[in-house]
Order: sequence, then structure tokens, then C-alpha cells
Amino acid sequence: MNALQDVFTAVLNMSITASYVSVGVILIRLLLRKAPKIFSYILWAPVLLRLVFPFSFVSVFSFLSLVKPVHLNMAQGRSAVEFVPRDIGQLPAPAIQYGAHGIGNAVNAVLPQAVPAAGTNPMQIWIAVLSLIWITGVIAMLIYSVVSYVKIRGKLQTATFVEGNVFETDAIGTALVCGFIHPKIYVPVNVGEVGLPYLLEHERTHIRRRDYLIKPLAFFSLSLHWVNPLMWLSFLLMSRDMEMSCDESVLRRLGAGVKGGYAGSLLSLSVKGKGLPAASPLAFGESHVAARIKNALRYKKPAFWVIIASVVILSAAVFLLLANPQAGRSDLTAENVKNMSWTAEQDDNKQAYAVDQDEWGPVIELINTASRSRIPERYRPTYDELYPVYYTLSVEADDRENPESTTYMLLLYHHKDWDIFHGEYEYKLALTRLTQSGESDIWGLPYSECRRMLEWFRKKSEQLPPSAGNGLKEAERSIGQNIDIIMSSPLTSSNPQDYIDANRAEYNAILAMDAKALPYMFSELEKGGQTGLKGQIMEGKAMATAYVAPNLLNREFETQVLTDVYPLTIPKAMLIHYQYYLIENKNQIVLDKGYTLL
Amino acid sequence: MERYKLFDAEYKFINIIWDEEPINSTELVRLCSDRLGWKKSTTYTVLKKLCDRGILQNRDAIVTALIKCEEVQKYESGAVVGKAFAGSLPKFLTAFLDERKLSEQEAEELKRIIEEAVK
Repeated sequence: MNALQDVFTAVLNMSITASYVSVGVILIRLLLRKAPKIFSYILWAPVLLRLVFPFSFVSVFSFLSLVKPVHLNMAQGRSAVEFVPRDIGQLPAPAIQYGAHGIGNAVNAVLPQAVPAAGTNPMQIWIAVLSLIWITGVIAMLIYSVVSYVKIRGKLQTATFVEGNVFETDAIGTALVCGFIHPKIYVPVNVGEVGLPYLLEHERTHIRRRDYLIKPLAFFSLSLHWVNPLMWLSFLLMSRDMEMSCDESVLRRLGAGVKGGYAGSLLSLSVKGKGLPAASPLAFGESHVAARIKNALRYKKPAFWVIIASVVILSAAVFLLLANPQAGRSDLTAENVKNMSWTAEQDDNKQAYAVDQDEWGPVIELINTASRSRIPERYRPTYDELYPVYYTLSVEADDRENPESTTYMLLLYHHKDWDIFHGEYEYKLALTRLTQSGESDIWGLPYSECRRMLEWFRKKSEQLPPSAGNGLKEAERSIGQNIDIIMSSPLTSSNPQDYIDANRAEYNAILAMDAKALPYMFSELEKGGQTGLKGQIMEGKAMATAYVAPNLLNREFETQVLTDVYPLTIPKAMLIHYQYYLIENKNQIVLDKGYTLL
Repeated sequence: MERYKLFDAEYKFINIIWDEEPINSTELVRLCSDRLGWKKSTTYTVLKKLCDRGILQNRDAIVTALIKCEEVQKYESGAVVGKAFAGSLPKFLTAFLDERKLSEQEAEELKRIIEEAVK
């Protein structure tokens, strides 16, 4: 199921990206209305490529930088534009950012929010349902394609040889090209001597241009993106541009003098036969034939300079439409960096430790060159429970971009995620920039850099002298006291709950303690034998802490170490905090399933 | 007299037979391949269809015609066209025209435009 949903999300992203590009193409086409149709036709190439390939190259010049996609997934150096975050099913408050404010907010208002207590995430169900509907549509369109192809091949089977790769038959009403490997031209038997050369030249041009491959490919893409009405429109417009540019090519080869004859054959062939006149449900604007006739009559061979200019403009347009946008770069050097320091954020005293100048090099290079992507607001690192920051590295500099003091910060924070290239990972790296004038930016950096910085921070932590104190001792004392009070209540009940009820204040005091209480609890639990009242008190504390980090609630597991108490299910959020404190003691917890924390 | 209606392909086929009959079926396949560009299977399919209709006879691999030239009438291509487009062309094929026909007034209008343009 997950694979299908991933594919669906990827297709959705491609669809949205292609839609923006499509709008761009349609606008440019309007400008090119009077120009040869070959240019409009070529403009559709970026749309098709974006429908089929999720990745593209990155460039400073990109059409998409106008619409500011929310997320640029920069895995492994390849850049894919994302409007729909891949893990949308797991998010607490899912949202799709279309990039243009109005649209996005309207859609997000109807997206169901996750309800942690309920256990399931309605968004997940939505995505599952939608992806099923999508794949059904895709299959239906593919079946239609196969069936109609088989039918037409059947009809063409008895076509008789005329010359070269041309065959004639009375089973069709218009000339067409059929076949993917050795395409053949099929003409109707009664087409007449006058119209025949035009038909043949037209279809030969299609063959020369490989249209017999391009059109099916476009239709296949349409099948994948059938949910997107803009793509149907694009297919229609692309087909028209394809035909009209083909007409123009014929006129160019046969000479503009045949304009009248060509237009005339177009006309006569569209009225022949006993078919009913145009009453098509899809008709909008003039009929396709009328447009082609007018375009053919209007055709003039363009001047040489016009061709050159158009090629240049076209290349630029295609490049802009294909390129993925880039988020800026910096220009730090050892000269303009004033100082660098790092901090372990979860420490009590949060001391900043200076970084020696000879260690600045790699950090500067990272800030200057690492690929940046935008982080949606709800995934940003925070200093509280949701995406807690563990380490920061501050760099104060005179940025060459603006000659005032700018502070860059690398933030290593907890954000468990899964992606196709790295599987599951725990941490992310963000880069923030704050100028003295108050401008601020935040970007996400690639996973490879995150791993590097993690190593760097760990090494730095190990080099520190053992810490003087970080409030743990206080916590230990406080809990110990409260538990003693509860347990020494003058009750004779055997039900631990009664003791807790009798000493609500003390119990609440324990619950109100933050994660500092955890090391004590774990060390006590490790000692074993904590059944009964004390164990229950500590389990209550565990649960209470869990509610603070709702998005991590469902990641529970048993710990082997602690199973001599009743099997405690301890949310991982707590263990991560615990492990953070344990760094000082260089301890490690090895858990069931071979899971090691840091 | 009731005439047999033949499609264009069948008509060409029976003409070959009239020219060459009696003809061995293998030889017939070769001739159809040369002159019509047909695969072996196509030739046999058409042959079988016409034999079933009592128009041709294939006995001991010798093919003869059971009817004469005067008894045959080609299908008018117009009627065929109407039938052919009952199952519409797949959208992913390139064709010279799409299937919609022009209305009379559209056609008149365009005729006028063409005449203006070539003056």
C-alpha cells in the first residue's frame, strides 16, 4: 500500500509542477499566436518531460522560482520539486502548499487534521483512497488504449500495398500513421489524385518527426495524470500544434504556392462522406480544420533573422521551464567570519563553546555550498518537544552580500523521517540566517551534511570535560522525595492507586517534572524489582511525558532491559531525551530489536 | 439480380483470382504478398471469409472463383466510412483529419476564405 501511495504522491507532485509549467506555456503560446506553430509545438516539451521525470537540473534561472514550491527534495544531489510532502499521511497537521497563497489555503481548510488520540490519521485514509481511485483511472485509460489499438490494427490488416510504406484501405476515412517500429501510412481508397500528395507529405512529416512515438507517449502521460484537467487541455493544444506545424512543414517543402490546394484538400476531405456534421461535445472555438485551413493560408516562410531570434527565445523558454529553482548561496570566507561557537541545546546551562579558527574551514564550506531547500513552517526545528534542537553552531560574519553583521546558525534537530534514498533517519540539519536589519531565512540542508555535522558535534561533546552539573541531581532528589512521601502514606491499602489519590499534589509534582526526571526513573527501573507502587508512579510519569510529544506516540516498543517490571511501553521521545543526558556518562541503551540510540 | 457486395480489399483479391485461377493457395499467398503487401495469415483469413460466403472455393489447396465479374459490386466507400468511424480512432495516433465533419455553413465559409486567399 505504501508503495502505491508514494507513487501517487510523486505523480501528484509532477502533476502540480507540470501544471505551472503548462500555464507558462499557454501564456507564451498566446504571444506566439501569429508565429509558425512549430515553436508552440516545441514549447510543450518541458511539460511532457515534467510529467514523466520527477527530477530536473537546478538553475538560478527558473520559471518555478516564481511560484516558490514549498519543498525542494534534494536527495543525493538530484532535485525534485515537491508541493506535496511525501509523508503527508503521517503529519499532525497535513497541508499541501500550492505555492500561490490563495489556492493552497482553500484546499488546506478541507484537509483533515490528524487526531492523535484517535490513533489513526484521517489523512492517511484519504491518501489511500485517492491513490486507489487514481490507479483505477490509469488502468482504465491503459485498457482503452490497448483495446482501441487492437481494433484499429484489425481494420488495417487487409490494407493493400500502394508504394513504399503506403497502404490503402476502405476501412478508414482519413489518412493515418500506424505502427511503432516500422510505421506505415494508411490512406483511404477514395481520396483522389489531387489530395493524395498532400496527405502523404503530411504523414511523412509525422514519421520524420517521430510523432508516431511522441503522441502515444503524451497520451500515456495523460493516462497517469488523468485527474488533472489542465493536462487534458494541454494534450489537446499540443495535438493541434503538432498538426499545424506539420501542415507548415508540408507547405515549406512543396512551396508556398500550394497553399490554396492544400487548404482546399483539407476542406474537401472534411466534408466528404455521409458522416454527420460537427456537433462535438468538445468543440470550443472554431473547429480544428477551420483553424488549420486559416493557418495554412496565412503561412509565410519566416525571414532568417526571425528564425534565429525565435530559436534563441525558444531555447531560453524551454530552459527556464525545465529548470528547478535554487535557493541562494553564501559567500563566507575565513576573513569575513568573526567568530564561531557551538552549544548543546538540551543542556541546563547551555554553554557556548568557541570553535578554533583552524576548524572553521569545513563549516564555511558547508554553509557556502550545501544545497538548500525550503522547510515548511510546521517542520521547522523548535526548541520544545516537537522538533527539539540538540546542537547549534553559530557563525557570525560580515556577509559579502550585505556588509553588516550576519549570523548563520546550523541547527541539528530531531525530525524522524523516511525517504526513498536514506530509509529512516532521526535528525535533520537546518541553516538559518539572521541579519542585523532583521531579515531572517531558514533552509534545510541535505542528509549527507546532517550526518557530517552529527559526527562533528559528537566528537566535540566527547572532547568536553565532564560537566559540572546539569540539574539532574536536583531532579533525582526531588523525585525521590515525592515518591517517599507518597509511599509513606498512612494507608493500608494494597492498591497503589489509592496511595496516588491520597497524595495527588506530590504525584502531580512528579508528573510536572520535565524530562530531567527520566534518568532517575530509568536507573531505578534498571535496578529491577520496581513492581508495585513505585513502579506505577514511574510508569505514570512515563505516560505523562508521552503526551507532550503526540506525534511520536505511536512509536512504542518494549524494552528488554526493563521487562522485569510489568512490560513498560515507553514512548521513544523519552528515551531520546534520556539518551541525551546519558551522553555525559557515555552510557548506551541497547534495546530490543537491536535499536541503539546515538 | 442480387449482387455480392465486396470490400475494396476483397475486390482486389478476387481480381487476382479471376486473373490467375485455378491457382494453388501457396502461390496465391505469394502473389498477394507481392501485389497487395499481405501477410500469409491475412491472405488465408480473407480467403476463408469469402469461401464461407460461397464466393470462392478452396478445394485441395486449389482456389477458384464461384462467381463472375458481373455479379459483384463494390461497397460504396461512403457507407463504409460511416461504419468505420462508429469505432473512433485512438487519440494517440496521428491522422490527417480528426473525425468531426464540418457543417454546411462552416464549409461554405471556409470555401470563401480559401478563394479570397488565393486570388
